[in-house]
Amino acid sequence: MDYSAYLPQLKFLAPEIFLLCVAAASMMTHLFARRNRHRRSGMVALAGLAAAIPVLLVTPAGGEIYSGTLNVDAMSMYLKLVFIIAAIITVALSFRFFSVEGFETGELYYLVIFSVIGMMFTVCAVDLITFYISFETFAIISYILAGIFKKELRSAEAGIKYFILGVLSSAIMLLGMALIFGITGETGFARIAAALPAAEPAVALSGMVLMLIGLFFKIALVPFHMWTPDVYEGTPTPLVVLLSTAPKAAAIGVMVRIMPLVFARFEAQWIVIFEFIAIATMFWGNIAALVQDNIKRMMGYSSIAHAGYMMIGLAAAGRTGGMAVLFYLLVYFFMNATAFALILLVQKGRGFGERIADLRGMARHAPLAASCVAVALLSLTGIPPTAGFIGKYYLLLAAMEKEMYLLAAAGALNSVISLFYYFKIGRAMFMEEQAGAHVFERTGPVTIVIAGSALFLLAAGIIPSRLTEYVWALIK
Amino acid sequence: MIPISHILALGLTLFGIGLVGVLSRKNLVVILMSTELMLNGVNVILAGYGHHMKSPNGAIFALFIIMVAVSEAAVGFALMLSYFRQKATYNLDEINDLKG
Repeated sequence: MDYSAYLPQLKFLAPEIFLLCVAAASMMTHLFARRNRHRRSGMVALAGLAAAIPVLLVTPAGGEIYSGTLNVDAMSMYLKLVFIIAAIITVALSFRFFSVEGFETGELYYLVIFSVIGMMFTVCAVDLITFYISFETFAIISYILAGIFKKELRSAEAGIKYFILGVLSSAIMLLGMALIFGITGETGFARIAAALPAAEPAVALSGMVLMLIGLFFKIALVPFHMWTPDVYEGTPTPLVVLLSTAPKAAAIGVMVRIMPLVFARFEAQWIVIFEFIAIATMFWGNIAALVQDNIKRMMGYSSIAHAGYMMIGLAAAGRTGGMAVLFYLLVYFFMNATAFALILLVQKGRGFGERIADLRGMARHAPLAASCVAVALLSLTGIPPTAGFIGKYYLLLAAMEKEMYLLAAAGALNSVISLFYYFKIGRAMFMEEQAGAHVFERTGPVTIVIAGSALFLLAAGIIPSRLTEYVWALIK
Repeated sequence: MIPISHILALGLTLFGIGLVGVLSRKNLVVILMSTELMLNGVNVILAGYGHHMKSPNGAIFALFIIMVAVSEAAVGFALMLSYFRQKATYNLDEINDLKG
């Protein structure tokens, strides 16, 4: 084997290496800064993450590198950009959260970066071993992040619950990977794909199903969703923004890559599984969200429903389906970030108002933030002229192209159901008077994040062609 | 030479015992032990198949899993300790402040 090509191939990993240095710098700041060490380590992390975007943009796509263990293609570049944006917003929101709560942990900032590095490798991985290691890198860190707020019992509980179910699901996924390795004798995805048609079908199929269970758990699809509301409620809000978007994007990116490539032989079977799960997830998420009073729980169920919408695109396997999923991932990130960030607008003593009733009167006291949140709510429902409408349009289009009318109808019906609970938030903000002594943030990091997200959602909703053309080009 | 079906049966049995342990026991430490058992069941399958298929990747994969299992255990015990400091219990039934 020729190893001389390995050193020049490092240039394709420039964003990961750069972020690793940033994380190390942030860690050193946390250890050795004389004053204000927690916040300073966060500042280093924020500056480094912002600088990582240009590094990512100049990195060339290199195809398969390192003896076919990583594939740095255009799709993985796009997902890496989503992860970095998610981390930037998380860190920015964390500043506000910990200033109000008066308890800061500098570890958080570099753990966020390490988890982003794990996700970046996950979407590049085209080998079972590489995939498993990078998947566990971000999974284990996300258990820590859920339980990092040591002052609060709920956070520790969220961490434990996420940990037990996460470890269980990754062990099940691992068994599936072991079976697939066992019958093919290969770990590279392309080689498995070549060897799978000759293998024992029953074992191969059970390997695939077990592997999917692990991915479904990370995406929080019914029936592997039960951890979601509890974990999202207990986890500090800025970290929910990260945990409810980036791991889902990573797991969905992996599915977009491996399902048509590795499991092409079982396409008929996995399409049926995906279709069933998409319908179950959309209905379960939306109906359970209707009765919630806590915004974090409601948005937890809402994020389950949105994962169901994305499954429509995966079930409608093909070019349109893949494009629709990748487009919706980015849009979903901005919508969901706003939906959780809005909790940070309402300061209630040394904490935040998590009930819908706490949002009352926001339109009068913080009109800019309230109108930006309204844009995100319209987008979550899928009403034009927002990006959420364009995203749902492509998802339903993909289903219609494959003549999956039941799936498309379920998607459209669920948009209507979701209107009811998103409207509850809108009504509290715009039509009701404030009750209680909480304070709304008028200008600050949270408002900037929400306004930026709203701007993106409107821009991508009114003139989507630039973005859609870019995403189309990612799917071969 | 042990036939591969025996190795597969051993691995699946270990995995099954672990799975039952995770799902039925209430003590967090026992649950953590059970997850380790599940991972070790997978390790047996991987090492066995790697030998059977004459591929070194099985044993390499198993080594990586051992490493991941160690870091999982470290994080798991840290989370338990952080909970235990506030509310002295290891019983899963009493960890129920979040309800829905």
